[in-house]
Amino acid sequence: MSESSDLIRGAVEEFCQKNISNRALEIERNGIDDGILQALGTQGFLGALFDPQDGGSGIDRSSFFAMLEVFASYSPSVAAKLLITNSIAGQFLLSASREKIQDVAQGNLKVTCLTGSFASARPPAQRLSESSGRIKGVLKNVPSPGSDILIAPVSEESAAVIFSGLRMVEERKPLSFRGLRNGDVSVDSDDFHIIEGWKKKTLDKILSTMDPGVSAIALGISRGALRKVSEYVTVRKTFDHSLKDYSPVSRKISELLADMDIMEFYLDNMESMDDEKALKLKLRSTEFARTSTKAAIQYHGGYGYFEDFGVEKFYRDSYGLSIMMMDREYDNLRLSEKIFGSRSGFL
Amino acid sequence: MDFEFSEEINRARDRAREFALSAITPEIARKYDLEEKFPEEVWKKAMASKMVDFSNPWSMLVTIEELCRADPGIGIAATVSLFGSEVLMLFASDQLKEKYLKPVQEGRAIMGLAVTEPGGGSDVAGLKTEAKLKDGKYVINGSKMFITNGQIADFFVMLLRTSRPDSKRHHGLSVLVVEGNLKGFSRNKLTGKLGVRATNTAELILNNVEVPASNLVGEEGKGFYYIMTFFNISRAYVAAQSIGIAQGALDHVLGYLKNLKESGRESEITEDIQFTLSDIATRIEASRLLTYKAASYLFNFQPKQEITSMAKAYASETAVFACEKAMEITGDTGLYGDLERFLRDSKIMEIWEGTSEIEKLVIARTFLKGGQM
Repeated sequence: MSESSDLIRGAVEEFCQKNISNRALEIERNGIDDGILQALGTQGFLGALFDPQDGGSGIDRSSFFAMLEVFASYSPSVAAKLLITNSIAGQFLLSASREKIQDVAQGNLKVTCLTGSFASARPPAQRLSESSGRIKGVLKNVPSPGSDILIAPVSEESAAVIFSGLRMVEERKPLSFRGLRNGDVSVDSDDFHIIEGWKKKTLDKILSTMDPGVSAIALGISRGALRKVSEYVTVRKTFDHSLKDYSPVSRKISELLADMDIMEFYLDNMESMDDEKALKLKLRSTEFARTSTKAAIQYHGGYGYFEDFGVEKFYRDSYGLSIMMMDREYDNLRLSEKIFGSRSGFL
Repeated sequence: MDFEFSEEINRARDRAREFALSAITPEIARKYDLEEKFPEEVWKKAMASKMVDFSNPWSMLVTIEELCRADPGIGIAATVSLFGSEVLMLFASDQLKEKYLKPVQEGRAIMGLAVTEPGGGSDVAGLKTEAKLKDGKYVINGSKMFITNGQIADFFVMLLRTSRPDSKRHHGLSVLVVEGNLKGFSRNKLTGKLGVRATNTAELILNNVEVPASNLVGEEGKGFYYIMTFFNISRAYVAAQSIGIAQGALDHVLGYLKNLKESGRESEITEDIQFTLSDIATRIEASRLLTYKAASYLFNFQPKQEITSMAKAYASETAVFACEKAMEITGDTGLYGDLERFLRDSKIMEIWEGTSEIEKLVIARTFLKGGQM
């Protein structure tokens, strides 16, 4: 781990202990409030990857991933917000409005996007229509639907950064990342910026941050769940022994922690790794998040099934992470192509 | 060996499927899940239809499967008002049966089974809530946790400590029928569950609650055996719930793949997806065979505990497996549709009525004691 990412980890831990730990349940129930958003902005987390001249912190990527991991271990929703803002939103805002980036970095303006459309590079399933200087349509299942700025595809190759005319028409309680909220957004706006050929311009940059960013959140989710369950099995007694004394429990948790450390090592050295390794880590770490969070609920017994114990959110979020922020089928095709050198695994 | 059910059981399955399709719509399932509320209307309809009848266990088994296939939370809520009734059927006096069992069988009352205590869970014999006999009444002090129907039940079949344990911890436990409106009895609804949110769950607090001695079920000190006998039965029903959940998840996958085909995207149904589909279907079939085998022993009064535990552990893990794989295949459609509720609901199957770990110990210890297949 680099010295800077070590420092960041310490700073984020301190921030989370003070601002997130005791409000994690509230975030799940009511969303990330303006106070938390502004605290994230003031501390430089919201614009962590933005250039300092755009109001950002300009930290290196390794430190950013370390930061995401720590946030995810307390609140995966907050980590997801930071990843979306710094990767997809940041890349598009750079082309659309540098002034607004500063407000986004400070937490004064909220920005969101359809993560799946940009993180998978597949043809977007949902898109808005543009004609005669207006952009219109309804987008379903938008994270942070109450945002001020929305980034959405208008065709396979062009995307729009929309600054006004956004209205949430229906809110839903999703499986995952409840802190972001979720809903349908109606768009009718003449205040927007079109980015043509976005795939060529921004896709590589987005994916180079998204792939390890998703891994960082996956490992943070696992870390959070394993921290909770390790504490629980130590204090919880059954049949006159601590749960940790039973071999299936201690072996499973120990093995998970060992796997966790190995993947964390990869994440900490991501800067020196190529895209293929980043993709491999993403596929492994997201699967690992599902395995480790499931074990964490199981060893909590009935208590793990209730939100008060703070474990079930990790389980729910591990599934959303594999779908909202990535496309497993597409990523498997990407990896096959890198391994075999040509298109493969499509039959 | 005949693998076909009788016409009567097939009719029960068809009737339950028909009921589920009309009374448990996705809109209704979403509403009660979101509001975390017991679906009283659906329960009343189910009771009025006479499909919920635990004295006809085979029909009940397939009915549970079909209702949970439509929606696990509602399916369980609609059939759980008699939870614990087998303890009364098998061990209670005729007077207790007449007074308590009849109203629940007729859909006029709801009952609950209260065994688990805070910090208790799997260790049933370690329970601490006491019932002391004084002047012809039992005086109860303590608390119970995670009790299904806890806030809405008219009465509970409750496992309590009536005397200090001797060398064996499970000695000294007895079962009493405790009404929910007694002085000193309070209940707190537990909210914020991951799944099965249409079922009602509560913590029960008992502070000097007085119960007539005539409410003792069977003999004093034999409560542990009665409850373990009940768990052997209820585990078969949990296996049926699990099969229903897995089948429901498979239904979602098949609907999704059908849509892909009809919209000209058949090429996306790769062999990898077909293999996963095949794994889900195979595990469901294996769970059914195991569960029906366990039920067959059970309903012929020759229970084989290890077979029941195999069925419960395997079927519950299959429910979770099917939902997880279904989510992988369906992606966004599953994440933002009704399938996500199945995923949340499925996890409790591996926990309640004996965790998978407990079931595996039951199986292993049977063989270590010389049991054979």
